Amino acid sequence: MKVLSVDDSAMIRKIIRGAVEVLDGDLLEASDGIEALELLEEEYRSIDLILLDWNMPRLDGMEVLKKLKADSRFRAIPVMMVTTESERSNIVKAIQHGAVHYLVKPFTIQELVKRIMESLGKGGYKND
Amino acid sequence: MTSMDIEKIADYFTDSLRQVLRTMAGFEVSNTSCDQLDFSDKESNIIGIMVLHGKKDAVISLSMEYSTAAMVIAYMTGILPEELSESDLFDGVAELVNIMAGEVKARLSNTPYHFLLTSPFSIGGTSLKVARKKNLTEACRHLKAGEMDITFRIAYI
Amino acid sequence: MPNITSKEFELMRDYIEKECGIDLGRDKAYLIESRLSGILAESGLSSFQELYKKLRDEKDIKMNEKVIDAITTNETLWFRDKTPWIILEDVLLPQYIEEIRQKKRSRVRIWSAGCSTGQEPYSTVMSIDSYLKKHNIKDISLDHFEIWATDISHSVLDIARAGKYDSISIMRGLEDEFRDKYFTNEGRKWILSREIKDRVKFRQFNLQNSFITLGKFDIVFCRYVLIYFSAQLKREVTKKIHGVLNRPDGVLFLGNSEFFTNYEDSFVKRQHKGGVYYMVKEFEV
Repeated sequence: MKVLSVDDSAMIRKIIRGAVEVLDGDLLEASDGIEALELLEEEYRSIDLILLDWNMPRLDGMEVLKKLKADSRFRAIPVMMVTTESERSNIVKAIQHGAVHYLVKPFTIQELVKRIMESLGKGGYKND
Repeated sequence: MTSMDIEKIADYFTDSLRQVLRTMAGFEVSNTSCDQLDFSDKESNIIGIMVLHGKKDAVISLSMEYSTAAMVIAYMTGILPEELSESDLFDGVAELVNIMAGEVKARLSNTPYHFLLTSPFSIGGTSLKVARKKNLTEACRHLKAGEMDITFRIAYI
Repeated sequence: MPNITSKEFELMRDYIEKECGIDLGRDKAYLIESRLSGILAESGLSSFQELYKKLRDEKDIKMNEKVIDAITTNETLWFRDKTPWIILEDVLLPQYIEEIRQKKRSRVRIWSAGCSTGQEPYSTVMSIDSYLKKHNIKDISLDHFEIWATDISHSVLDIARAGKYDSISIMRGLEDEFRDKYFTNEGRKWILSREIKDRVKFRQFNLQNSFITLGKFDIVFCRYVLIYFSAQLKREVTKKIHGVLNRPDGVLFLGNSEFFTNYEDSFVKRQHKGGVYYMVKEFEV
């Protein structure tokens, strides 16, 4: 199992690394949207789940999500938003754009592990 | 806005920070108000800062000693304090500010106090102080757990 | 006050309170959306109003469980509050061991209700094992103890069964002595020893269901679970727990900061070293 964490905070990526390792998975890291898309060009075939922050420099999470779902190579990879952005309209917007889960910071490590498990393999893109 | 408003908003932020520390680090911290000295003269090593855009712009900050930052980040990441680098601490404190502000932003949406987040940042050094202008509308709180002491400040700018 | 109660949102809250028995404090209300996001995405719906209609019209028990699972988050620690395990070692284990030796009982059955990722039942097994070893007790073993652990969430049970923990979870409440004795680590992952892990029987269970199939227990841990429930559901669950406790001395542990009211007809409150436990009363009035 391979997970890509896209977050501009190294601390959050470290926490996510701990959660992914417990599930015997590997973690790839990107610190913003541009880096994530570059990494995906090379690695998309092996990635099972993307954890995506919303507020990031250069390219934010919502823009990344739209690009992922518009690209036939990437659209089947499930995306879970992991972010401080917690306004209702934005949560609904992310779901409508194909996120399978929305985890708001702060979260407990148990919650993170649980949501990662639930998001794995959900894949697909339900709404057009 | 009156100073009454800012005190209430400061409580929102400290409630949020307590929640962040409880959830992500497993700490219970107590919340006390600051005395006059704490507003500017208290020294610290690391300060996480964010500018908030709202009807009135504001700046919020979290100040603490390195040892406190190391302890908090260690409990949040599961990495021993001695294995954390200085940049881990800067990043971690900035992210603490970010998470705290994000929660308050959601709580205050659809109110006159609604604000937008900006990118948080940290500054570090020895004997850092926050200087302030006179008559600024501001509020300050201490969050304490054992030896740890985190100072939260908010000021309209 | 912040305006967080739009119409669709009120509907969801009503549903969660009435149908799931979950009492949502007003201050926590704004968290509902993100918690229910997975359900919203899964059902292919684009608003919470639609989700509410689906929930209301289909009366799907699985959906009901998913909502409860999404809304409740069990922050679990090793040996949370410490006192239940002090009571276990000081008061209950010596009594059970004596009774087993005198052939007054053959085993001890313990239930961890709402076990989340397994810290509570595993703490109990470690506590018993360490007690037996510390007192050099050879004639009684872990075989005399049957430990059940249930949760409404399938995914937390999968985590619990795996017995693998990240270093953040390990830092919460686990003393070095227990960590070094019962866990091995690989990088930042800590793996619980088989001798402890295999002692706990995990099972998915909804506390709203009948307890009849569970059998009787000597100890029930139901800690920081009822805090989410409405007053009515709380009453129902404690009544059912009372029903599955062995007479005359079955014991219930609640969370140390939980308030338990109107228990006097069914339980006797006992205290030991700052901790509280509730002993079943023979007859319910």
